[in-house]
Amino acid sequence: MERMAEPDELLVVEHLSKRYGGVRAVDDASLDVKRGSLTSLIGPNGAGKTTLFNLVTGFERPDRGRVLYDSHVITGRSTSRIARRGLVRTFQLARDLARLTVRENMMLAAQGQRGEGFWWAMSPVPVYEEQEEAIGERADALLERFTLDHLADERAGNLSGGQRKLLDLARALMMGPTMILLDEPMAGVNPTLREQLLGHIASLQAEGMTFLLVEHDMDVVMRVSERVIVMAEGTVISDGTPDEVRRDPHVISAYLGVEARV
Amino acid sequence: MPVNRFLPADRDDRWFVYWPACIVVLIALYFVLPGAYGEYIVSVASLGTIFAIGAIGLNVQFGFTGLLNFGQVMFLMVGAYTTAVLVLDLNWNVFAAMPVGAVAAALLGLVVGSFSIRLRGDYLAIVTIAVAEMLRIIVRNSGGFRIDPATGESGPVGLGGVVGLRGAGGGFDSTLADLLPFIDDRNWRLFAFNAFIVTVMLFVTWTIKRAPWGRSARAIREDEVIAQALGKPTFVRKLQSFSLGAFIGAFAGISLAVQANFVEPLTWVPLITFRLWIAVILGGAGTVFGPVVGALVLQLLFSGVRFLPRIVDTPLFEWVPESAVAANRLGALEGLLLGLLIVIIVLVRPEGILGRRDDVVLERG
Repeated sequence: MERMAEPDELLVVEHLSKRYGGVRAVDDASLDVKRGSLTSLIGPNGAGKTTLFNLVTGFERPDRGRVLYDSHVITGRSTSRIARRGLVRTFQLARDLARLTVRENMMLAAQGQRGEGFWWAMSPVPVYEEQEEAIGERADALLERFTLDHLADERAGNLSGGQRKLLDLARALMMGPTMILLDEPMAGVNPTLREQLLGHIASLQAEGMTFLLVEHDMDVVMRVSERVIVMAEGTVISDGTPDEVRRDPHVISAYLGVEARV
Repeated sequence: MPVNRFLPADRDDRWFVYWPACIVVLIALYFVLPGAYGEYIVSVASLGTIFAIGAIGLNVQFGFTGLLNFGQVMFLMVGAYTTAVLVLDLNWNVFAAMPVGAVAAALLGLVVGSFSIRLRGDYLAIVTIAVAEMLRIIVRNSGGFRIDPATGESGPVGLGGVVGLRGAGGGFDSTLADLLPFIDDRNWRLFAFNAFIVTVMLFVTWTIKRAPWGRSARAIREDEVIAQALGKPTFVRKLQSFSLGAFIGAFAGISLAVQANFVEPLTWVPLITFRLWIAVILGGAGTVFGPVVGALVLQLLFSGVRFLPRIVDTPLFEWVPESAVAANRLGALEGLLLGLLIVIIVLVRPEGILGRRDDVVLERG
């Protein structure tokens, strides 16, 4: 049964399915994310969370189902087109362009760069320099906000794991997104940096950004999310406020364990 | 005083210094070396610059964008044949025909790229080498590419070659002599022509590498998935890079053809592609001037092989049997040298002469 997306639903996933051989990685999963909210997607390993991310962001094509973003169908669109629409993701393992500098990583992410056009780039007279300067300033401002400014000219490959997570988030912001999918942003991040990352996410949300967060750290999930969606075996088994989900017997048996520690 | 003080800060800008320096050194060598040697070094430089042009093109594809093109020679061939047919069959002026030849190669790049460039690196390598060989064999067996210089008509000439690019009306030699009246030596004129093309192509590649275009190409080289996630149209970008590399490379084939006065299918073997690859890697893939350095050094080494018999004659190398450097073995020695060179580069300086180690070996921890 198809339905229209409600105006405050930024992302709507309807009956999405994907199989790899005999494995149903995502099996008829439906969910929605409200504009300006921070929603968490949790579930045991192999529940299909990352596959769902891949399907939503165009890295893979679903076998069935559709994805609506901002009331537009984006199912099967290319990753780059979806990203240009404002739906941006980060990766489980921070994937920086290791041999590019931190600033280059940032500047690369800016959208609508005139100097990326082949003929513009060939021009011997300045045609993109002004825009390039503006992008550079925006990158520097964001790097400062994420306290990475002292590393701007360092190659991204020389950054620590936590710094890379920060860079990943900062770089996603360079794209001017309306929604960010965060794939385990806290994995391998020390407690201080974790608080810092959470602070950034909270302040971005206050500015109107929408987040969908995949995370295993239940502490973080229960603390920051307005809503928690639980997946298991490729499908959504529970959906509600952190308190509701925590008490849901399905969730306890599938994921949290009998004695939920939170 | 360290040399660095005279060089521009950005490494890629240094070609403004390196390239004129190379030309000055060549002129100096010409005057310092005794007679025939001086002329010989000019012809070596001339051939070296031809390979430099082809290597600059390959460097756009591989060095800038990470495309494994193992068929670069096909673009040289298409450029050369297009130019030859336009000049001999349709009586074009050779200098008008050259850019058209290069555009033909660029179009071929678009066609080949459009069906192969989505493939992952190693598959692209296989497809490009296969297409290049296919094209060469088609040309070898096609009568349409055999033009009789006497009548200008198609037909069986020799081994399927196109002869007479130099002499034809609006031919290369006479036009070049008109353009460069102040150079009275043919070898020097040829070098001047090649050096001009190299200069233009260095400028083009330097310009495009500095632009945001170059940055996004590098992002694709590093991690195409990330480039996509960042909203970059990677397919289009790779196609542009492939086609530009083909356009530039075509001039190497054109230059080779007009200077040899002869185009024939036997020239465009995969070995040429591999020489270009070694030039790019030796000089420093992804740098602006590296391919030129690599091509010149490589040509010097190859030309040096010729002097081995004379070196072996000297008392110091008495122990080397003369048969080892017999005339019929010099070709094999070149191949040996090529292989040895690859091993040495990879072991000692994988980033090439002008490259930075960080660009090659920096891995995510």
